Amino acid sequence: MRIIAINSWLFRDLPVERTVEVAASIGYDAVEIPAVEVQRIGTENLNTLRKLTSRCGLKISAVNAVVSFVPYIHGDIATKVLRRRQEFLQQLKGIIDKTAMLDCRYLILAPGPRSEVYQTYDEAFMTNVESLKYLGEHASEAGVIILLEAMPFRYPFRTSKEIKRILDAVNMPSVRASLDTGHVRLAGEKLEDATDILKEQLKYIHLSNVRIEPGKPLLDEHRPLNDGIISRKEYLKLLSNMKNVPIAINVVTTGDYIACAKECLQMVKSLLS
Amino acid sequence: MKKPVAVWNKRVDPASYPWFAERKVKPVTWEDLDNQLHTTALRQFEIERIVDETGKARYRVVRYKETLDLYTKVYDFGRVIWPLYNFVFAENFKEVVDEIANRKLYVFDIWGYVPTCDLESGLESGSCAEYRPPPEAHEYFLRKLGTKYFLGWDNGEQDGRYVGRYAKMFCPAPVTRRQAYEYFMEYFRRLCSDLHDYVISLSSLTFPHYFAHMGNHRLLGAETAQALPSVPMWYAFIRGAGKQYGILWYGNASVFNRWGYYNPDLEEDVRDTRSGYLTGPTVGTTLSLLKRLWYVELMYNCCMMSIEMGHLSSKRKVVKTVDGKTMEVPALTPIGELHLKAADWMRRHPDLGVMYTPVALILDFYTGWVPPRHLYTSDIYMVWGNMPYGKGDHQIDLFFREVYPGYEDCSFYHNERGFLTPTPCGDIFDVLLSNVEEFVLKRYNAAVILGDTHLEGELLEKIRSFVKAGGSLAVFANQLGEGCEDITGVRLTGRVKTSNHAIITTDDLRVSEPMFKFHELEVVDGEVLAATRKGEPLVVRRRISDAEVFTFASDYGLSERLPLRKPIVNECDRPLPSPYQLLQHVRGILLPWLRDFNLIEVYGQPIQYITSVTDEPTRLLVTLCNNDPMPWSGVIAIKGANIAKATNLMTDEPLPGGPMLRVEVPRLDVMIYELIADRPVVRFKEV
Repeated sequence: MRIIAINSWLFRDLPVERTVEVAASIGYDAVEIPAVEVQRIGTENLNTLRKLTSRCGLKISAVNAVVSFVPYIHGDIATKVLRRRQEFLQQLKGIIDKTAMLDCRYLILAPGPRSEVYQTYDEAFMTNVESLKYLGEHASEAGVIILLEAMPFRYPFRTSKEIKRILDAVNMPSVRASLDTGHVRLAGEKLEDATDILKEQLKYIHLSNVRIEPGKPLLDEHRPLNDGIISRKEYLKLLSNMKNVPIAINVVTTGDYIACAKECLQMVKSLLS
Repeated sequence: MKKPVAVWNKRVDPASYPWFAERKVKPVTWEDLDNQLHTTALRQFEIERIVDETGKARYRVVRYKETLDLYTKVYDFGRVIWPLYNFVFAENFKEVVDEIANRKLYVFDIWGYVPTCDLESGLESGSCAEYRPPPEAHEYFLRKLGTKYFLGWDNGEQDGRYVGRYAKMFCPAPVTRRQAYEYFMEYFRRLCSDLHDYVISLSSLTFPHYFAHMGNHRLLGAETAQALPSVPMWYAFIRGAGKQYGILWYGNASVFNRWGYYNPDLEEDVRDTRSGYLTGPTVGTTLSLLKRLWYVELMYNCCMMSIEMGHLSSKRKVVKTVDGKTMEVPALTPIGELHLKAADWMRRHPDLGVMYTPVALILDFYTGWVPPRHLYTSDIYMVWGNMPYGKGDHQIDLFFREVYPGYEDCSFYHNERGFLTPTPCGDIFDVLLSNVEEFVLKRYNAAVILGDTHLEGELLEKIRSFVKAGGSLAVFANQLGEGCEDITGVRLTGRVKTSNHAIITTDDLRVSEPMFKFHELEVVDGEVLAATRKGEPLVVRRRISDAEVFTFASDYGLSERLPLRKPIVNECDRPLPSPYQLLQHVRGILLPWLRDFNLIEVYGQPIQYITSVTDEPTRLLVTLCNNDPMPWSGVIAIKGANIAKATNLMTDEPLPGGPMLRVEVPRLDVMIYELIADRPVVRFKEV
């Protein structure tokens, strides 16, 4: 059965424990948790969270580091500032360990952008590859798979092609791909092209929508599924092409988040039925 | 006879702010600056890279005494040095600091921090890097120079960098302004922590209040010219932040523009192979703009002035004698000459008064407003770098287009349009955020509430107290919260209507408008200044003793969104249309009212004018800045008084008194006049 998860950031300030209960009551199979939340929770409380999730009949579909860590501000895996990169890689190793403790299989990461100066495209590419190899080894030991996701505004590694190039260079089973439908469109790609490029390396899908209008700025808005340029037809095609890949609804709203979570779930279920 | 106007005539005194004693990192005070205005000198030391046999590099500052001599003695550019960070990593760093300490020079805004750039490459190329000054170096600065002479590390143009590069990397994009603010702060907490939370802001956008709010900034300032925002608008923010938080501000003019940089040392314009920019005598900022920026920013009460670079020739030498020693040194460029002349003028005119800005523009704390277009992104109409403008943001933009015409074109035109602008209402505004303390607000004579700012809660209480104390107010009906009636004299019925016209009742004048929304008002106590033809109030004025409160019924005073046939595009040398219009009846009532707050009248073609008040109730200074390539001639007069005596302070030439003073300002030039009134025209506020 395909897992349908919800990213806990839809529920804004609700504590993660409450998010789990709410997601279960709406009918989701799993929740996705931001990495910063996992970092914050002490080891002893991770076990409590795992048990609570299990008691609610839910899984933790993935830990998401993409939303928690912004390059430079929090860290990234390609920065040329060695000390920063080493610190960040150590942090990520800790998160991989905690991901495993949550019985969660996936940690979602983004490639680091190229440094502002003194780093060529090739150097940035290779630094990403080396960092992922390092983390991939640790993930493999912990039984976790790192999923690399393209971010539309973290240049230059922002398309599925770039993700595929990095994955091929890393060449480890513990490093695979996820995609976000909104990110794909913001990067100027079609959903079907992205899935064709990533093929079996794609292990996880984020569903979100986005607005793209002439003369208006592009923003990583993560709009509800029925509110943007991605049509039901496109979602349907994506889900049909990528059977059995877990999906996570990855949206935010300024309105009623419970209603939004329900509507998105209903829409996905109707697409799958 | 006209009663003298109550004005605030004291310069910002950081030490007098109630939180000064509590602040761990204290703002620079006038005492620190020896109660003087300053100018800056020297942007970097000469550094030698020495590589040992293992390939390891070390760095050494060479000829630093000679360099300091050249910039502070041979040529007295000032007592404030503004160096690149790399000397901090030199093995003889302490010797250099000792020398600076012996000479009692200030170290200001140590620059060159750029995220993600590794230090080794930065030192090798003598360029930027993401560095963390070694704690022992920071401590050594403090030990040898103290907080008096060690002014801080540079938070330089980082707001632009954040907006252009990092704001959109946050996932998801913020859905609230508060969230956008939190994202912004995450960047700056990270940056300032690298710089020991002991920083100076060199802004590149309109965020100085947030820097001041952090509690770790010692001075506020900006890199003006370049491809950066319009100065009259920008310094309304910077001064406002300085006054709100009790931090002094400084000015700097850059030789760069969008297309290259000015280098008068060259005979021809050429491509700089290192930076890739075009450079030469006819690219970059013009000398006339550098001069106008200097004097305008000085009259904005900057405590320190500078021109970015290019003071000395790398080709021409001259012979100079200093301390009895004769030496051959680089000759001055026109930039260096301008700097020395202006610094000399400042020394000869130490009492430049306090810029008179009687009108506070109040924006919501979380506004994050920036001009509709700027250097750091091709996106237009965005706040915080990652949220689209709301209607309230368009109001702020359209308000600035009225009071600083052409401000939105700044840096986008080859002809330097917009860097400085005429000021039809006078250069009389400061921007404050809604968390401003009451004692600061009461230093103003009027407040205009702009943007998505709601008159409720604490802000309402402060405004109530402000109005009670004699402050005037302009507010828009959609900004009114519960309980404003005792201030505005109007009650909102809750009904919203539309109109396409207004009748200005005082003149029985009908003005046609694009379709606009207005809030139905019941007038409890006030005079209707504009209405629909059915008599529905559109503008109501309530008089409370000397104060006036204006309530505008229309939504932000703007039209509905205008139907546009094509998306708005942002191009150089082309105007940027707005999707809204400021309504004619709002302009017609609001702008003359604001103009009335000036102490002087200026008659002639539109020009930029600044008034400064002094310690004497009869003495005013007037700065006229002609940003037009045609000479300006016109007349200035003091409201309610004759001019007993006048002096052109640029030439120290006395001018005849009388009811008015006829003056001429050469093309693209600036003049400063001292006017002595024949009777007191102001009295001084005490708050």
